[in-house]
Amino acid sequence: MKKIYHLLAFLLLISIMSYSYLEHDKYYLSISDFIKAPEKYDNVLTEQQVKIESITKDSFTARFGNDYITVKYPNMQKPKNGMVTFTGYYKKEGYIEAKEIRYNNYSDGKYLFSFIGLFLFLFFLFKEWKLTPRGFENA
Amino acid sequence: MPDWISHILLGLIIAELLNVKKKSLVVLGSILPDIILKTYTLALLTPVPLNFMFWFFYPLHTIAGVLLFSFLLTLIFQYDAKKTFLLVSIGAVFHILLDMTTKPILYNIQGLLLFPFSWQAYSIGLFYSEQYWIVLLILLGIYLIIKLIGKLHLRNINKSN
Repeated sequence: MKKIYHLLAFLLLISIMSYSYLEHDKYYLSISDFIKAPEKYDNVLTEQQVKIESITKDSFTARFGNDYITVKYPNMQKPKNGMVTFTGYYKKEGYIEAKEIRYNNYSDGKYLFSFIGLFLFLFFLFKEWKLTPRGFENA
Repeated sequence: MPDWISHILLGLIIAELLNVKKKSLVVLGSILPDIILKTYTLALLTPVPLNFMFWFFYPLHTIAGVLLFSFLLTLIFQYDAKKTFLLVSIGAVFHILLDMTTKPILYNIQGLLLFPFSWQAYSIGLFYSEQYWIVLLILLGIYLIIKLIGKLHLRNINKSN
């Protein structure tokens, strides 16, 4: 009986994951979705947090994972060891017209702390549990 | 969203307050919503396009998703299944609540509390993304105070005995 509940939970989880994957663009359009078909999403408002690759006088190239996109915003500056959060409108020509920018200076430190946090987590986990072929057992 | 040390500290605070024996289960829950979802950040290190993963794994960062995932995790812990589920879930729900303290400009997609029933993003909006260190210091302070009170309490009990 227990196995059936776990199977149901697994199927339910896969279902909501598929739902999220298939339907998210109706509510929160990602840069990856936009790059695939910019003409479909003209003037859709978005908020993104990105790394900046390069800057010109009236625009910058933003990186989101493996995707790069031009964001039009004049007099942009590179954030100090961090990212930028911006709101703007997707344009059918394939760029974003930014409306508001927030510099997340030194936000990269968060990734360093999270990396340290991973080891902290492993410390707490293996302090109380040992990994065996049957799963985690009392240490 | 805050860093993982902050999330772990919040998990430890909850575990101390609830006097939990297996603190690591709350700690596991406290980073559970990020563990799989954030693998997409590997896209920054590899040429493999992993961005598509974000929205597929996104439900693991929602309350419905973490409850289902916590239930599945009871399979790998040789421990009371109800306690495992409860402790991991508590840690995970507090992870999502802590993420909601991040102040967005428009919306905080870390806060889709009612997903899959609603796509509404909720936010408590206390700190900007780059102010993660304030959250870290506050939680570290609270954790140290709780540990100190615990030690003083224990000393008083030992004295009276």
